[in-house]
Amino acid sequence: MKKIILLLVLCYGNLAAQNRAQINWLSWEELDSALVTKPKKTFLFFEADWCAYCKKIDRVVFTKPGIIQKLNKDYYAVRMNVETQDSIYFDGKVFTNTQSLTRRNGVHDLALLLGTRPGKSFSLPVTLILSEDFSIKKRIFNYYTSGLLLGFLED
Amino acid sequence: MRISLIIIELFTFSTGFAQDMRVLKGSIYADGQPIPFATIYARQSEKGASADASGHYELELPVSSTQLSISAVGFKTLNYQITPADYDKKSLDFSLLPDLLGLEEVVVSATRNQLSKKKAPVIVQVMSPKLLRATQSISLADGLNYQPGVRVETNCQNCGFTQVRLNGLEGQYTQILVNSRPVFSALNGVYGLEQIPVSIIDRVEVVRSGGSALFGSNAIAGTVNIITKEPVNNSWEVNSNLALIDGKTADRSINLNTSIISEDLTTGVTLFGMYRDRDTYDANDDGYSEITKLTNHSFGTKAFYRPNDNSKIGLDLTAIKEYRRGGDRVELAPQFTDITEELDHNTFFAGADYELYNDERTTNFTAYASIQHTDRASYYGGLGGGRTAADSVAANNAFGNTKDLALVSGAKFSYTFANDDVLTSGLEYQLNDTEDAIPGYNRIVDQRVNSVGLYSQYEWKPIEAFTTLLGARLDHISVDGFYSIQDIERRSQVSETVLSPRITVLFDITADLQFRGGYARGFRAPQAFNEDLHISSVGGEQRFAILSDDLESEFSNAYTASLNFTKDFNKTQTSLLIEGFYTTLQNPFTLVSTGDSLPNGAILDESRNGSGAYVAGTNIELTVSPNQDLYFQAGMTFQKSIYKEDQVLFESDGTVPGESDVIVLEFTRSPNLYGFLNANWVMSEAFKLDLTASYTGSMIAPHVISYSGFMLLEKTPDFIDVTPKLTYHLDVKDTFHVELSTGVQNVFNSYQNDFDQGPLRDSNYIYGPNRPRTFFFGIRFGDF
Repeated sequence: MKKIILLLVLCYGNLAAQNRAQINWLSWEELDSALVTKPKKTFLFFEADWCAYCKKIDRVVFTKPGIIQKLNKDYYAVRMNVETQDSIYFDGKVFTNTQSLTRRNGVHDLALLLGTRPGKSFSLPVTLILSEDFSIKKRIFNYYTSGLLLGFLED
Repeated sequence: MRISLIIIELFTFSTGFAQDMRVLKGSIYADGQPIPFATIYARQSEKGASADASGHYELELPVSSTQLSISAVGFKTLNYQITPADYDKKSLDFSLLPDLLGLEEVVVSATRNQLSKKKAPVIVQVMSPKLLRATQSISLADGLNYQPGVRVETNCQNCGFTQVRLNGLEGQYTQILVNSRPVFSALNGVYGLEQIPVSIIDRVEVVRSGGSALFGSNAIAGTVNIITKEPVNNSWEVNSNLALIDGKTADRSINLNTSIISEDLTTGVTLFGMYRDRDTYDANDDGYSEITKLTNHSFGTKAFYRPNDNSKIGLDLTAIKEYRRGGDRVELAPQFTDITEELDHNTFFAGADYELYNDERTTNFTAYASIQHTDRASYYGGLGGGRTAADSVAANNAFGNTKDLALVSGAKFSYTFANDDVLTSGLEYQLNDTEDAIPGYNRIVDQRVNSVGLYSQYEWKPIEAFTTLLGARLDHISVDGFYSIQDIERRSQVSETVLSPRITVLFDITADLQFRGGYARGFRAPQAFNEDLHISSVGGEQRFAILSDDLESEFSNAYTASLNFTKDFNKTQTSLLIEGFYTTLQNPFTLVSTGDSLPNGAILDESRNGSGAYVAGTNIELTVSPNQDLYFQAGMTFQKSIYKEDQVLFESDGTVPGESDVIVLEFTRSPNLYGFLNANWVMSEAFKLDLTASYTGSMIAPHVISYSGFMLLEKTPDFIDVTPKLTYHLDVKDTFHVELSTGVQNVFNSYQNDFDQGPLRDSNYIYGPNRPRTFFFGIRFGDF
């Protein structure tokens, strides 16, 4: 009986802890300096307010304990709303949202740079997995489940 | 450094085989500003490149390449023909235009396969839920008025029967589809438009004229295709509305809607429910309703399962319970009132569908089946102003029962060839069994309609600028009907096979100017349609409709041609559509009043073959969007609907002095001019202002003024129904939003003012906007 109670307490405690756990998202500037001090693999996620699949990934995949743990342990994670109008300092360069000067839903230069495919229009969600030297290991242009993502992150 | 590595990684193309290669370079702009990372792509050689951050591109191409396609998100794709001189240019620059009007929207209705709206050979008008919200529409019937060529009309004060008129033709010439399937039976066509909750609608696609080749033989005025939502995220929404008709009569509604979709997107379900309760509204204080009491409870579910990436199984279940009542003293049992129309519908709908693609997505197979059953208890009658024992007996015998069963099943196959031509073929089976009995009047409609349709269509694109849809539909229809009222009995035994060819063409005259044209043939077999199942009241008696003896099939030919001009003046986008339509009807089914010819003194309308008629007109639509926050759309229809010979609407038996046959040359209830305006202004993140208006021109409305059924042809005034609406949006948190809205429908109170009064009134004498000035307040909240 005591064992069961202990088990329940442990389970509950575990669940509560999971609810609090979150992916430790960095800003581009933080990523820049982190890569200099301690090179690690990088996980990049591009999203927008109107992108239903991005929202689904955010709510369903990024909340799974396995994903949170894996990303926080082995990766620097950066997420970006592609419609942001902020200038971003990264890798010694300044990136701005040029499209937003002429339109409301303009896509940021940095997102276009990393998420554009030849012959196709820019589409969301875009996910990039980069190795320690910041070379691209994988670019994912569609929705994925936490199981699939875990597989991508393990490779 | 890191970034430069990536650029090299991403944008280096293998040159492939050794070919004679040339290099194109230049910049891609919009409004004088470079577009960073736009893509430029040669179609034949499948070579492409992305511009850099300053909009500059460099592309190595085999000399054989002839066409470039330049695209970027939010801009219209630009197609460009390469000339040899281009290779010598120092800089070949392109300028892209933003896409604000949603021209690249994807639509289904044109060819029954998904297609970009601009490439569709027929004009598809898409109505988004935005417009339904702007007009504070609780049902679809309210929102459809704001489409060019479309008019929704209330035809009865006692029961609120509405119908959609497209291009000047009555409701029966329009096919109503849900997710491209003809699920509406003859009976549901009467009140069905008010039974679909707005919260499950993703969009409504309206195709005018019969150009829509694959939709039903009766779709000659057009089709209204209701596409329901397919959500991705878990969501929930509660939507409640209170309206005060003329500031006094309440119309309340609650809509619930929630979706749960699994993480891997393979399973999902949407649940929805609606409750609506509207009191009766009496415009002229005579104690008789102008707007009926309406109580509606609906709930349903849509679920799906994807066994793999290429297939999907869907299941729909909906239950609708709708009660409507009009007339006088609605608090009493109907047999104690002077006039009552009371209808209690119980509808159950179940449907299943299966969709399968191949890996390349060039082959698509769809199969579907649905069943709909409606039980209806009706009361069409009352004391009619009399108080004798005979009146009381008659009133007690006006209860009726209707059973309606509709089955639809079909399969569709489409194949896309390597040159982008598409072949679509399908088979559809429909059964509609209607039994309507009111023993007290010896009224029976016992009708079974079986139809099998085989259709095939080829979408041929011989050159880039030209697309044609060549199609035909072979229908075999059999009608077995028995109809009686009092001592009159009629039968319809039809079994016929009809071929309906349809053709449409699209020609891009220039990049801004498109021509579309089409021809469609349609037919209707003799049977009771929605209007024939409706009973109105006049002179204190009921007015019935029955098919005449020897009713023959009706044929129609619809021709349409349009020019669509889309041009941008700096950032302002405009689109102008001018469309002409001409439809001829042979042997059109026409309701002719034979007066009070029934033994109990009731009026009988006979559905007869008319001598022929035509409808000709023009739809003009203008859309202007100066920027993302402002949007204007206006449309106008000018038309004429003419009978080839004088059409008798009322046959006098000559016994009443001063009454003679009533003859018309033009269609009744069909204005020669009508239109709409729709303006949206996003004032800030929080506030939004919508202004919608519809204009109904003068028309001829038949008005029965005597117990004999004799009618006057009244010329109605014109109406302008304007609705302003203000919406406040609050993001409480990422997963919780609140929207408050208020406004006034028909703010200038442009409403009919010559309704008949008392128990002897003609309940069909109603025209113009379907409600007087109405104040409304809405709240919407949830995770949406």
